[in-house]
Amino acid sequence: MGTWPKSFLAELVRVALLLAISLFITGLIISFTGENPLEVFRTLVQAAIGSSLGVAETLSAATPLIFTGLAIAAAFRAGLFNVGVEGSLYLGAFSAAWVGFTLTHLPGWVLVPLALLVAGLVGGVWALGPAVVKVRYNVDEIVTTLMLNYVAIFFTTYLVTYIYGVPGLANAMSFPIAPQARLPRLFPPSQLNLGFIVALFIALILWFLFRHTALGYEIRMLGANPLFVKWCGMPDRKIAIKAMFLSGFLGGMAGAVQILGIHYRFIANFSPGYGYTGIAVALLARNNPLGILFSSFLLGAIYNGESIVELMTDIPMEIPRIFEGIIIALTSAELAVGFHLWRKKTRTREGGR
Amino acid sequence: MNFGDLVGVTLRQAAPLMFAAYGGLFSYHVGIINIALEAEMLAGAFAGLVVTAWTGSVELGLLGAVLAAALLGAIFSLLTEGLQANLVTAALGLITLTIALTRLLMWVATGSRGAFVPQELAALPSLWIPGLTSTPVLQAFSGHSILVYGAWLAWIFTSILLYHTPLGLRIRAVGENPEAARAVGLNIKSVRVVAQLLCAVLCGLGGAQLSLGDLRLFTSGMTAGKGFIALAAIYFGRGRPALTTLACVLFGFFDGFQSRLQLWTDIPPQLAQTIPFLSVVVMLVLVSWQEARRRART
Amino acid sequence: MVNSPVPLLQVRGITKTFPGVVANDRVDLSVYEGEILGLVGENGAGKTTLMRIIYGLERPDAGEIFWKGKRVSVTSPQDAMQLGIGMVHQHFQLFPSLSVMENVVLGNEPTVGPFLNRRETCAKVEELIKRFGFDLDPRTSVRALSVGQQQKVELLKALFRRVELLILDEPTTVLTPQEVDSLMDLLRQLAASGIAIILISHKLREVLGVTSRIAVMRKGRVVADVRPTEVTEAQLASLMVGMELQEIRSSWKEHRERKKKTVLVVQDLTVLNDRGRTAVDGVTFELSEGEILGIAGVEGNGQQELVEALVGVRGVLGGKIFLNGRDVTRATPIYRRRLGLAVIPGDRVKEGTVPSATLAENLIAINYRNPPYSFAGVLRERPIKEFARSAIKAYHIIAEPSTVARTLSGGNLQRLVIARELSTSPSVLIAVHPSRGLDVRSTIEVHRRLMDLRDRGLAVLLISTDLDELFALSDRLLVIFRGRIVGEVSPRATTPTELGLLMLGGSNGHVAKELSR
Repeated sequence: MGTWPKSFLAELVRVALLLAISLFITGLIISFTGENPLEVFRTLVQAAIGSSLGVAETLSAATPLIFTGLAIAAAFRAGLFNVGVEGSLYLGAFSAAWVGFTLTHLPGWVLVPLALLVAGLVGGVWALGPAVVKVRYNVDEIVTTLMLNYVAIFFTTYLVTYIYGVPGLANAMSFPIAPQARLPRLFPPSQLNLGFIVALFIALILWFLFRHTALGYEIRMLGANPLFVKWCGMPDRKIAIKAMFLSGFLGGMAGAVQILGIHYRFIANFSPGYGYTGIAVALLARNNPLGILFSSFLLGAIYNGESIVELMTDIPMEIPRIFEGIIIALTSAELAVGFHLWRKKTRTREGGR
Repeated sequence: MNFGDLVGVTLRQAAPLMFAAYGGLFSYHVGIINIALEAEMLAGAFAGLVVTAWTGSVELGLLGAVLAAALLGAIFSLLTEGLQANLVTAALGLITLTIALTRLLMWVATGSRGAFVPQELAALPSLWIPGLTSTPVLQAFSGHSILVYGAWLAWIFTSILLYHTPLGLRIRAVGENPEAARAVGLNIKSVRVVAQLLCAVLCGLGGAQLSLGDLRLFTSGMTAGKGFIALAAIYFGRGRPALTTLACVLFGFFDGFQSRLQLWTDIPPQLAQTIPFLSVVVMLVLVSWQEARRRART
Repeated sequence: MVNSPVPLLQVRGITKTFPGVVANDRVDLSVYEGEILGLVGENGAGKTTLMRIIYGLERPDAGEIFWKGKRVSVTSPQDAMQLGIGMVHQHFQLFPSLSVMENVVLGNEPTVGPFLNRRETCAKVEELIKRFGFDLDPRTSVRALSVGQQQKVELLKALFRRVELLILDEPTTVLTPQEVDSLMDLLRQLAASGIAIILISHKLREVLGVTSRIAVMRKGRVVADVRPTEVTEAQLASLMVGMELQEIRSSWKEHRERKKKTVLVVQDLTVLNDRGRTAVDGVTFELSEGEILGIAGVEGNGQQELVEALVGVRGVLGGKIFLNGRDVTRATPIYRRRLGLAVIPGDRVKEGTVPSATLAENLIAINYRNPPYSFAGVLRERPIKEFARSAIKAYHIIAEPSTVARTLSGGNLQRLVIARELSTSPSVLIAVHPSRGLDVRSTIEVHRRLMDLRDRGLAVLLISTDLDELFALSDRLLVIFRGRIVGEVSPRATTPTELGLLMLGGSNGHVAKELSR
């Protein structure tokens, strides 16, 4: 549903403009470090997609971003900001690890889906608290979910330091998961694993959910016009809670896939902020599940390539995060609107009097 | 369990929160939900420390902190007023950007990665209150960096500005009813921008207290959610400076409490560290629940 | 009265269009020093828009403004105030949490150094209050004032500044008779001192009593410019409402009286508005199947809150609502809909549709979980598309199922809303000014449809400020004023004048006395 060709083209142009401006500003910042931005970009692109190994690593880097991007988008669509995806990610990761190293007697084809499911449920439940207090008492969900992120990170670190961890390590980590719980690697020696396929699959499911199901419809309508939803008699509170649960669920899966596919154990503080990067992924793709596949690829490429760049130049250029920050900040800036307003002002000066 | 020590820690931990919260109050009253407090604080923390380390002058450091935060505030205003960006996404983006930029600039300026711990650092002057230094509990009120006392002055400054000057009146008017303010001839945009700059300046000082006054180092992302806690304090106080101060003191207390708890008991440090964050959530929920009950009754 | 040949303010050819409606249509108007010009017309006639343009809150699409003979451009209230134009708004532009004196001096605050000079402010405002005989304490917060007192604060705001032209938009709607008298005296005083006054008011008797000239606006144009000595109240009312009334009335079908079932009962309903004030104050009425019950009233007298309470979007403080025999006072909106309630909301864009969604998505918003439109939670596109197509056909919507609602015209949007609401085969329909902002053809269409549905047994509660509409459709007519039902009339037996007087706060008995004068 929705008129396709014209608005799609307009969206592409908008995204392209956004990317171009963000790249430009990022390049400007890079030049302050004394390095040539074009060189840096070239190295980055080369590293990220210049070889099949690079592409594989990029896809691997994109995997958690697909999940967190979908997670953020699910809440955004309902008009909610679930910044707590990072927390759901951590709890989901730990839950998956726990299933992996506790239920070791189960066969792989049961263990893996079970770990993913448990991770999702835990992540979803974690988002329920902020959801309920937001819906009932209008408590700002940004503050609550952000605070709970820290709680989740500390709590999981605690679990892995004192209870479920291998003792005596500098950075705490849990017991290793059972070998059959590991997600098989798709393209050694890269880290690309089956989790990527799962991510693709989930993205398709989300696409289907939003386009073709009643719940997806409810969430979209709620985000688009909450007043309308009330007047038409739709259960607005329940919809909002379901959206947040879904968001947390996806966040939990994001963590689970990292554990089952790459680390094979829960490592404290393992996430470099996938939950937050998910915001950029979702915004860039305008919360569209299929678009998220592309924006996560883009950001995954930048993260992947950056490690090489850092190796070569020895400068912590923080390119991915700078780029990410600019995108998030600019994404809603109606640059076109600014231009329009300027034009309108000059026009009314002549006509309006 | 040293009560005096607890008081001292509370004061120190509350100070940055107070600065940021007072800054946030200007935003709040002008009608803008300012999530960029975190970014402005971080910018202030970074600039304050680095400039002091470079120049050896604390005054220049504080100036740097204020300017850095003001720069961020100006960018935020440009994005939200000029380009009509969404308040929340613009703020979140700026936070990410600031964290990344401070890491980069830290390397550029000092060659350190992750954390900058200067060997010699000009210290913020501390204030020793005569007569208190020997009394057991009250001595905790003395001996802090001037910014800790400055935070309380900021409370007075903010209250006076908001409630006793034309600017404060206009800020509150624009926030309460922008249409009516326009009808009276006020320039809404410039009032908002001024409020944002005031906010940024105060946040910058808060950040400076964090890095320069308290820990005397800078680590990436060292504000660790304090900007959001300040925001929670504003929500808690419903925009009133006195209640906001109370909230900041309480949050500061919980922060200090958890670190002392670690010293006094066997509690695992990570569990203790969750206390301040949980306290924010709990207090916010309680306040909103009360508000909802009050509204249902009318 | 001081008069000079050059008008103080003159507007020529002012035109302003909003989406779907022409608010001002080539308006010419002049005001002279020291005169009190009355500006009358129905809701939506364009009076407020014209004043907002003069005051700089809106920009006209075309036309010119002349001040003391020179062409000026008024782009903001600041410009207007600099010229010497002050405005007292119909919808208060006040700051509830600030005090009276803060509201009055905002923008022009007396200071001592960098601080507010509270003492001087209080003294100055106090002086102003005394001069005009208001009973206010400058220090109380506006929130605590009654509506009448708040209006005085609005007045003070304009009078605190140097003013050569004072515009008052419905200043007396919330004043007691004594306060009205003293305001009129004040206006005469001001005019005598050379200040020009534009007085917008529904209260024709007051307008006739204090003005030196009256301009009548109707549907965006100035249709008459008369002296109060030349017209009666009834004549003014006719000028306001227009002559088409006769044509519309003659299109009524006589329908037989038969024993009808009561489908909606509202008992002693009390509802608060967002500010915590009573908006609906003990309203009681019944609605039977096969009738259109109109509720007339000036906007802002509790209609919106009443509708919200009936739909279930707003809570109820006291009283009861019965729908088809069941108590739905605290029921959810969806429960009421299942019992047969449908509503055409007053704001098609904010309440009635999702502008960014497609026609089809807007149409199924009530039925989407029912078969055949979905199965096991999955939406089925074909039945939805077919439903959309049949709605398009039945209601003559000019669009495709995949057209985005934002691009539809007002008329089409309203057809969309009607199509959706009627798709549930309701027994009670609440229609909130259904033809507002529509062109003539769409209006007639909507009216015909409502009458047709009524003939087939639908119970319709029509809430509107448009007298044409109310007269054309209603079988019975209630009048709401300040949250209370102040009268019931039969449309065939009443006149616009009588209705207008009721809408301004008279009760049936009082009105009868007025008319017999």
